[in-house]
Amino acid sequence: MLKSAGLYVFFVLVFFRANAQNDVLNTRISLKAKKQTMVEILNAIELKAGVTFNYNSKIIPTGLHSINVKDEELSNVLVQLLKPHKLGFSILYGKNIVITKQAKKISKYTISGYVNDEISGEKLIGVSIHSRKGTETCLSNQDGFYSLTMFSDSIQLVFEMPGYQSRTMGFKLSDNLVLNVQLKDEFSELRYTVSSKLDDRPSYKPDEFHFNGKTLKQLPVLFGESDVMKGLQLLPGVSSGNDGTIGLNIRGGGPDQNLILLDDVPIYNPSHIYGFFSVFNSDVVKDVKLLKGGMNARYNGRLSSVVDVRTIDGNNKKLKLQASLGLLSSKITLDGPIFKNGKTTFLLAARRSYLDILSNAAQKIWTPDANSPLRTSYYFYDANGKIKHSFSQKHQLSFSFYTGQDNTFTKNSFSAKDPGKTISERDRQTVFWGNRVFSLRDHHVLAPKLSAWVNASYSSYDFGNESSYEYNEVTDSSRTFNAYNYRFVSRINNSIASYNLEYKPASSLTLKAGVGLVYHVFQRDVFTSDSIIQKELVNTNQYYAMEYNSYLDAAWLLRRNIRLNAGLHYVQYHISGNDFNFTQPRFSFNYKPVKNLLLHAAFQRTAQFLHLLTSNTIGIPIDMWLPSTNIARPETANTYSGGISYYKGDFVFNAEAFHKEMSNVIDYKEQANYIGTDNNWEDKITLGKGRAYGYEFLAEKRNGKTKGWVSYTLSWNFRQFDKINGGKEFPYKYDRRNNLAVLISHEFSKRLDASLTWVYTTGANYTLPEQVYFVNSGLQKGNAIYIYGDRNNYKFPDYHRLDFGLNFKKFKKHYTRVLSVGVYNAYNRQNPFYVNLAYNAEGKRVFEAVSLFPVLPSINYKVVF
Amino acid sequence: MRKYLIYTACVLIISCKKEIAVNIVERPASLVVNADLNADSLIEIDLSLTQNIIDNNPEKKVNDAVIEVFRKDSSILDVLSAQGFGKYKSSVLKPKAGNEYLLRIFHQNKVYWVDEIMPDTFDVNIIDTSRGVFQGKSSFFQYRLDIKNDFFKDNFFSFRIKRISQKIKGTDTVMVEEWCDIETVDFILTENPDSRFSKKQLLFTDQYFRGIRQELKFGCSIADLNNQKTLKLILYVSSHSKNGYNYFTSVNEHLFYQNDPFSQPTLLKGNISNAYGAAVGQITKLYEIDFK
Repeated sequence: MLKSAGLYVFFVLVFFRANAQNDVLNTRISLKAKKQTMVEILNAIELKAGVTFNYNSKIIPTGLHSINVKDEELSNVLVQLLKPHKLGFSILYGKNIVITKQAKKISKYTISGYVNDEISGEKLIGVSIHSRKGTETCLSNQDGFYSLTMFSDSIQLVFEMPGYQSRTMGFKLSDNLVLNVQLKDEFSELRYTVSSKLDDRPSYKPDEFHFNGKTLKQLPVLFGESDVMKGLQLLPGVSSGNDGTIGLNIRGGGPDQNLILLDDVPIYNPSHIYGFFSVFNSDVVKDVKLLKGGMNARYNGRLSSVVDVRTIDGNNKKLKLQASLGLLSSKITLDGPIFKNGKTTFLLAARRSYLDILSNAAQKIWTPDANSPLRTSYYFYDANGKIKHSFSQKHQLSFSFYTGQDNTFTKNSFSAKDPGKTISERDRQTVFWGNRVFSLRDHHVLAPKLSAWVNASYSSYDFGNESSYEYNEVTDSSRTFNAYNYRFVSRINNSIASYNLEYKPASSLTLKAGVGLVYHVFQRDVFTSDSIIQKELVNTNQYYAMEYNSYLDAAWLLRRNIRLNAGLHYVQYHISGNDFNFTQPRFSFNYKPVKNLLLHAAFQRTAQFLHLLTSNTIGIPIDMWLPSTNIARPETANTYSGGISYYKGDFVFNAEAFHKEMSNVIDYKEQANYIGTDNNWEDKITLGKGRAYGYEFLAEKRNGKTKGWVSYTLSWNFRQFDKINGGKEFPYKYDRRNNLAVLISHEFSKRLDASLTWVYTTGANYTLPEQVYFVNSGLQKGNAIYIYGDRNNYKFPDYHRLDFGLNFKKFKKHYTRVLSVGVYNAYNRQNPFYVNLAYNAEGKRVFEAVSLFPVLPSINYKVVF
Repeated sequence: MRKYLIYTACVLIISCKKEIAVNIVERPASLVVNADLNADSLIEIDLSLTQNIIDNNPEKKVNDAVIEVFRKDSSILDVLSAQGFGKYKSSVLKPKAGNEYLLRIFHQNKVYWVDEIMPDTFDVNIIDTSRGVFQGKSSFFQYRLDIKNDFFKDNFFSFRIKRISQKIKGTDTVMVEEWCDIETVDFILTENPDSRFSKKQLLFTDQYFRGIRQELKFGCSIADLNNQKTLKLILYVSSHSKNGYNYFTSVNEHLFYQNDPFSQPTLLKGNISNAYGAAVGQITKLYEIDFK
C-alpha cells in the first residue's frame, strides 16, 4: 500500500510539474538593468525567474541595453526585451526557453472541436491533427474531440486520417477557437495503414494497431464480412487458435487475456459459428484499436491486450440503408437523423444466419423417413442499436446496445402406431451462448482544454445447454407419460460506471484521469423438472465481486524527438470477504534520433480478475469463465517490449522484441475434467506461471493501388504448474514458434478491387499417448489403456491457409451495389482441428487428424442507399 | 435447387478425417500387472509389457517372471507357477476376506511389490425383481436389494449385470454374452461422481449408509432387439478394496474420456510402484435370473 501511495505521489508531482512548466511564462518578475549587454540581462532574468535560456550567440544583439519592469509576467518582459531586435522565444521543454530569430507576437491560443466525416457527419476517432511544422500535435479522441494549444497567432493546421483526404487549414488567431472540421472520403486514393501514424513526430506506437471503417473494408470479404477479428489475427504478435476459433492469442497470452470492448463495454465470447464470424458487424464498426504493449492506464482487467471497438453514431445528414444478402447470413443496417436538424441520430443493424434452414432442408432430402428424423442444426443472430443526441457542440449523450445469440441443437423424434398402442418420443439437446451489452455515455466539453465523459453500462454473457425428453404411450386402457428437462446456464453480469477527464494544458501534454466501479455477478444454475415446460432451480453457484478503479495517464512530448507516456492504474477487487489491491504502472518511451528512425520501449503491469478454464485442446464455447477468489487468485503479468521502426516513402518497417511473465494462470489439475455444475470447482483447478518471449516484424506498404503488409512473429511460450506434468515447465498449447501473415490488396479500378491473405503458423501443441497396454481381467478386459508422456508433447501439422476476395462495385445515381466473391481456404488445406487415436479399417491403431473447414466459396450481394 | 441445398449443407457441416503420421518417441517397455484377487478363488495374475502406441503387434506377454505371495508377517505362502501366455497361478492359495497379502514380482533384475488388503464380507439380499417401465422405456428389468456392511470401515461396492441372450443369424442360433448398461435414479448410486464414468460397472461407496441396511433400486433393459432374445441375467455384486475401487474408477474414467479430444488425459491409479496395472482384491456374489 505504501508503495502504491508513493507511486501516486510521484504522478501527482509529475502532473504539477508539467503544469508548472507551461506557467513559466506567467511567472512575474521585477528587473532593473541599465546599459548592460543582452547576455547580462538574460542571465539576470534566469536568476529571477528560475529559467534557462538557449540561444545561438550570433543572433544576440551587441551593444548595451536597458530595461525596467516591476512585477511583470515573464512573457511580457521577454517581448519588451527581444521584440525590438526581431527575436522571438518559445518553451523548449520544462523551464528551458529557446530564443530564436522569429520576431512574432507570443500568444497562447487553444483550438478545439470535433472532426467529422463530411458525408455522414460521423465523429472520427484517431484523426492526426498537427501544425505544418509538426511542433504541435494531437489525435482526436474516442468522441472525435481534439484540443490543441498553440504558441503562435498565424498557423497552418493539418488534419489526416487513413481513408480520408488530408485537409490543411491556415488562419490567424486572436482568441481561443472552436473549429469543427469535416474530412472527405478519399475513395480513389485510399490511404491505408494499420500501424499507427508514423511521420516526423515521435508519436508512433508500434504496440498499437488501428483499423477504421474504411481500412477494414480492404480485408477480404468472406461470407459477407470483412471481419475485425480475422484482420487482427494477421498482425505481428497475434496468433489465432485453430479453425473454429476466433480468439486472439497475443504475446503468449490466452484468448481470455484480451479486453474486448464494444463501445467501452466488455464482450466475453466474440465469435459466431465457432469462429466463422465475430460478433462485430462490419457495417457498424467505426474504429478498432488493438493495444498490446504500454497500454493506456485507462484500461484494466486483462493481462495481454485491449481490442477497443467503436460503433458508428449514425448519419446526421440523411437516411442510409445497407442490405446485404449472403450464402450463410444476411444483414440490414439503417442509420440517419431522427430530426431535420441532425442533432439526434440513430443506428439499427441486424444479422441472422440461415444455416438451420439450409441444413433442415438438406436433411429432409437425405432422411425422408419421418420415423427417424434426427435433425442437427445451427443459427445465430445479433443486433446493434444506437441513439445519439447532441445538446450542443459541447455536449452529447448516446445510448447503444448489442445483443446476440448462438444456438446449436440436435433434435430427434420417434413415433410408432401398433394396433391398440401409440408411442411417441421426442428429445432435444441445445447448446447456446450470447452477449448482451447496454451502454449510456455522456460526453461534455467543459473547457477548450478539458473534456469529460461519463459511462454507465451493463453487459451479460451466458453459455448453457438444455436437454429435454418426452415419452407418450397410449393404449386402449392406459396412458403413460414421462418427461424431464435439464438446463444448465453459466452467466456473467457486469454493471459498470465510470467518470473520465481529459485535460490538455499544453500541446505537448495530455492528461487523462478517471474513476470507476464494476459490479460482477458470476452465476451457474441448474434447472430440472419432470415437465418440459416448468423448470425448478435445483443447484446454484453464485459469486458477487466489486471492482474499484482509478487511473492517471500522461502523454508528454518532452522534446521534439522524445515522447513519454506514463500512467498508473489502481484497482481494488473485493470478493467473498477478500480484498485484492493492485497498482499497475504503464510506461512507453519513443525516441527519434534521426529522421525516419524511431526507437521505442514499453512496460506494462496488468491484472485480471476472471479466469477462463479451457479444456486441454481447443477453445470452444464450453470453456468456463470463473471469478478470481481467495484460492483462484487474480492473474498478473509484466510485459516488456522494445524495438526499432524505420520508414521511407510508403513503406514502414518495424522490429520489436517482447518478454512477458504471468502468474496465477489456471488450468485443470491432472485427473480433473469439465467443471460443469460442480460447486467445488476450486478443488479441480491449479495455479501456475507462464512466460513468453519473442520477436515481431512488420513490413507495410501504406499507399498506392497495391497495399498490404507482411508480419512475422518468432516466439516461445511456456506454462509451469506444480501439480501438472510433475511440476516441469511445458509448452503452452498456443505456443506457435513461427507465425507469418501476408495481406495484399489491389484496386484495379473504382469498380473492382481484390484482396488476398495467406497465413502460416507452426502447429498447435497437443498431448498424445506414447504407449499402450491392455486390461486382462474383469469387466474392462480387452480395453486398451493409453500412457501419456509430458503435457503438450507433440505438435499438430503446420497450419496454413489462403483466402481471397473480389469486390465488384457499381455506382448508380441513388445507390451503390457491391458483389463480393470470396474463397476461404482456397487450396483446400486440411488443417487439423484435433488429433485423435483411432482404429483404421484394418484394425490398426493410427492417429487421425480431424479438420473442420475445406475450401469454402462464398458470394455476397450488398446494396447501399 | 435441391442439389444446391445439399451441396451447401455438405460443405458447411461435414468435417474431414485424415490419417497422419506422428513420430512417437520410443520409450522403454514397462511391466503391466493385471490381477483380480477374488476371495476364495485361486490367485491368478497376468503379466505383460507396455508397447509403443503405434506398435500394432500383439501384446507382449511376460513368461519369465517369478511371483511370490507373502503374508503380512513376511512368511511366504506360495510361489505362483507360470502357465504360459503371461499367466501365473497358485495351486493352493485362495485369498481370505479382510486379510493382507504382499506380492513380490521379480522380472529382469527388477523387483516390484504389491501390498493389498482384501475387502471384508458383506450381506446382500435380493428383495424383489420385476419388469417395469423406467424413464419411458418398457421391457426394463428392475432389481431391489438391500446391502449391509461393517460400520467401522469405509466400504466400496459395484454392480454389474451380464446378459446372456440368444441371437438368430439366418438359420443359426448363437449365444451372446454382454455387459448391460445399468440405469438407476437411486441417489446413493447417482450421487457418487465416480459412478458416472461407466454404466456397465456402477461403482459406489457406503458413505450414505455405513453399517445400516440399505435398499437400492436399479436395472437394465431386456428389450429384444435385432432378433436377440434375453435368456438370463447375472447380477454381480462386488465389494472392493480401496485400491480396487480407485483403480476401477480410474479405468472407467480413462475409457470414458479416451476418445474425447476436449478432455484431459486421465491417469490410472494402480497399486504397484514402477509398473502399470493393479492387483486388487474383491469379493463377488452372483445372482442369476432365468427368462427361459
